[in-house]
Amino acid sequence: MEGILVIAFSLLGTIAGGLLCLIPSLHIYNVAGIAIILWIELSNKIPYYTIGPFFMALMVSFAFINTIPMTFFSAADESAGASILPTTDMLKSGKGRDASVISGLGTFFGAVILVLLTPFVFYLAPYIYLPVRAHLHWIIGLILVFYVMSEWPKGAGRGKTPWAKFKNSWHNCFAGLLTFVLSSIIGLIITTKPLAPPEKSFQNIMPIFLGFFAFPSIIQAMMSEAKYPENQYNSKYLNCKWSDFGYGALPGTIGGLITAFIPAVTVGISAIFAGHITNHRNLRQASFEKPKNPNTAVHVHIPEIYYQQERVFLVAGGINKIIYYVGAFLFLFAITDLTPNGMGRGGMNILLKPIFSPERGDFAVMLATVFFTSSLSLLLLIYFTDWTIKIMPKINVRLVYGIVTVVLLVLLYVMGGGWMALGVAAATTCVGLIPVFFSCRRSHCMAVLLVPIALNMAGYGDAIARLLGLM
Amino acid sequence: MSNWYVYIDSETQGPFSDEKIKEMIQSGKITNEMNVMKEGTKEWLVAGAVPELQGKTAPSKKQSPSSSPSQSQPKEDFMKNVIDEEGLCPTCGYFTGSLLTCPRCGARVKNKIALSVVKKISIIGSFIGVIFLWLAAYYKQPTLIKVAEVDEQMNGAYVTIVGKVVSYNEDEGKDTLKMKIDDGSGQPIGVNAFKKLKQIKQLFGSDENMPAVGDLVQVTGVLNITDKFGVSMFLQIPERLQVTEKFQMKEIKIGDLKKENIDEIVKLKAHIISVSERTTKKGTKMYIINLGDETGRIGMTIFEAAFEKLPPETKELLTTVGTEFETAIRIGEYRGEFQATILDYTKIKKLGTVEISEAEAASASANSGSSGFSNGMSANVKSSDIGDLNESSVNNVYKVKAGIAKFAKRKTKKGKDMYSLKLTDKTGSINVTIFDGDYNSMSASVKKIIETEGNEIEVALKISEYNGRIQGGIADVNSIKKTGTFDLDKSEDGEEESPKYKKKQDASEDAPVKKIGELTLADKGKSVKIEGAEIKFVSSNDKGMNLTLGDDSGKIKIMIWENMIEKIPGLADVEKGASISGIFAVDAYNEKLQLKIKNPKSIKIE
Repeated sequence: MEGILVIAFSLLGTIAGGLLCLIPSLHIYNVAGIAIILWIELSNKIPYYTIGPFFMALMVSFAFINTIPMTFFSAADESAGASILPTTDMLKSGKGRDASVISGLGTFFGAVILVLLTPFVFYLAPYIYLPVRAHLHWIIGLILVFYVMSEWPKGAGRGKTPWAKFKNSWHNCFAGLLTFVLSSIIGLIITTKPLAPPEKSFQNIMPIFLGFFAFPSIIQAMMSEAKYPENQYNSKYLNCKWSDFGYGALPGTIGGLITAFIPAVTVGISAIFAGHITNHRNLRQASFEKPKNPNTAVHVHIPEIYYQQERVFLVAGGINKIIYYVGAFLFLFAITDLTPNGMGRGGMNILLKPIFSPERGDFAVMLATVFFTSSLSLLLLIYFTDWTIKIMPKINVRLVYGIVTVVLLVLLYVMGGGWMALGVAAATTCVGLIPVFFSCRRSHCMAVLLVPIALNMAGYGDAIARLLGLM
Repeated sequence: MSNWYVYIDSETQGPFSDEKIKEMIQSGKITNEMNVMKEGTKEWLVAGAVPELQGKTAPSKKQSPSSSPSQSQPKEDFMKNVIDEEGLCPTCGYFTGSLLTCPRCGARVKNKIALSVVKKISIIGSFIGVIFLWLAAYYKQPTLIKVAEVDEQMNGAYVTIVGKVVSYNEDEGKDTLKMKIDDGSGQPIGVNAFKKLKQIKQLFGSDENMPAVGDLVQVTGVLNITDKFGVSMFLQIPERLQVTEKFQMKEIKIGDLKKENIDEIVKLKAHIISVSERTTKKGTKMYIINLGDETGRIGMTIFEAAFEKLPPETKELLTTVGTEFETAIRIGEYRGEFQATILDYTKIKKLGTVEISEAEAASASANSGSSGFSNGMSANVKSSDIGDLNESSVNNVYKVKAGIAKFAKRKTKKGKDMYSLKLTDKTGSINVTIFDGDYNSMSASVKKIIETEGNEIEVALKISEYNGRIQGGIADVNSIKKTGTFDLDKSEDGEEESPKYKKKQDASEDAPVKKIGELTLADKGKSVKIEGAEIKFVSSNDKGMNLTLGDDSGKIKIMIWENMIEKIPGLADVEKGASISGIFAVDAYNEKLQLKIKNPKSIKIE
């Protein structure tokens, strides 16, 4: 009976996660928050051991199905920029189906890597986790420094005066710095004196993330004049090679492990790291040919290399996503003698810890759930992709976004803590609009968590609180 | 004659005269698609649409710079695929997106939201938003709550709790302060200040001002709720810890101690009468220290693990017979004897040394196996007939005068010696168990008294219950006195129970039905009936089982010893998710509520 219930709740989590993730801008952590409230109400009727499989299934299906809104609705969360960027270009070229399914295949490949490698990591991870834990504050600090400094000027230096040229070139970098600083200040304020009412505190991060990522995406999408081009959904094949998975495996796995291990680092940041570590971004260099005549250089642009880079990017992004979302949650179940409370990271751990604590035998059940749910989710992804392509030309996207906005605002008011939550979301929306309209990285908004966590770990949290006058 | 401005290569050139313009048109420098503006007007026009210049311009041969090699479709088709009419400039048909002015022809595109406006809103709104958030945080007052009100949705809540410090621990090595606060509503809450101890000490100035056990404090922090460890609070900012009322410790003499003083914190001035080492059943060492003042004696036990952590000077102080000191202690009790526990080993004030007479030292040593004794306790003991002992007598000490109907030596399951006495008076019988530790601490004469069936003795008994039956333990070996002889033939046989004894068994079945969340420390020692609780957690070891039970009101732990497991059908194989009902006794360990099985026959597992 126990086994049947575990399978049933895994199925329920897959379907619930799959359907709800199709809604643009609705993050899985918001869905999980609603599920937790429902579980608390029904805790007498639902067996305790089904919590783990249900939420694991939710996370796995999200890692797959959120590809669809990110591809077709441009409802990008912070992860989207570094995990699924080529989809926009592919969508315009009529290859949206390829984009979505290749990313999904990458995610499935990542699930297989997770299931096969995690038991080994189980034995290594505690030995890495324990010594690293005491030094996380400066590791996060270094990540932040690298992240801020790795943004380059995107303007072309247009303008008549030197000031105009300088402004044009560097405006995005300064906008990124401004976003970083404002997000850090907001994070320090919120962590020093959380503004959510006590009874809604478990979702106190929701207004912030909706404001930074969801609402600016919606505003941007509603302002856009673009219509979606026709995409095909009848082909039986994908424009993809098996070597793409080989190229994408390493950066995806490294990126995912970095994100899963280090607190508050998300897919966008780790993907950039992984890309630099594995140098997978420089596949283009393979396109240079030897010059036929001496003392000349020939740069032959081979289109296939360009498209291969897109596919490798998608595969790596897919692997990165699942290892982050699911791996970070899976580590919670890695209970060893050195880590008796597991090594869990990520938002799902924080949401679940008041109501759920894993036991030693649960790890195997979770691995099985990951594999089972990944297989189902891949099928759902293919089906939902085709369905989305069919209905996209017929629906009024602006109307959809309008409805989503109303739903999110209601959710924010009910679950986030009333008018204060709406106020926080408004403030963070303004900050979140800066990256959107000044062409800098949205990941700068993650300073809202990274900076306070690093400062608190280093022991300076109270000094900052005194500086801000928030005693 | 008019002059014209021309927009070439991203800059405005001119003014050019009519002739010059025509020359440029003929030479191909100006094409149909380029923008021209007549001097004196503010409107840019496409050269091909200007009647004055019509027919004089050459078609453009240049490709649009926006086309990329990868696009194989003609530009028009591509544009058609990706943009609709609203995205095109009404004058030249160029794609403008959300721009207000066409970048090619400069025409004003109407009914658009200017990107610059959105940018300004985002920048200004961000600054206003951050200021608003700061003001909201500045004026926010934390919510004052009771620990009993905390639920799972309050994880991360910013709250204030006011309560008494019940335990306090400083770790200078980790610069951490940990304490437990009881606000009287339920279980105490742990407050943790990681890497903040030095700052807290600097803030309070001196050790006397630091929070201590018994003080009333107000703490503001963020709640941390986990399923495994319950509710605790992180104290991030030292200024958020305030001592609202300092605990005024009363000084007490040992001889004045009463049962009501148990769990109280008092100041004690005493000297060390004797120190002895003993090995526990687990093989670890413990130190039995007998303290005394002019009114009585009290025992103190320090286990090896705690003793090793003490500074050398404290170790020496506590192991030197005759040392007189003053410190804060918590009064406890063990097997009917008062026990002292020093609250803070760093706050022991040495007063001097006193001489201990040989008789006093010898008397204290003789009783060291029984973990200390207190003359004061024996003096306050009430007398009782055996037949009057019932459920309400459990955990109390009574002086009983009865005859020894039976004496037997047995072995425990672990092979150690134990002795059982059956004491009988005219009202009933009671079994008394004496473990080898207590037996060995008896003098030879006392041993002879209790081993002789037919002796009538007076003894202080600590009443307990085991498997639903009342039994006794020797509360004070010094209290055993022979008062006469007892007629064995008139004694009742072992199995007969006194009427009140029987009623005690039945009484437990009248235990009130309660939810787990309704239990408080005030229910300690009482029986409760719990129905339909779910087993949330199961773990077994060689000593027994640990279960966590839960219902919709809360959770509680229960420890079941090995010998009890066999008596409850289905318990040995029980799994998480099963339902359990039955009668339990409420107990507490380290201020945390837990249950014990009161009546194994009442336990039902589904």
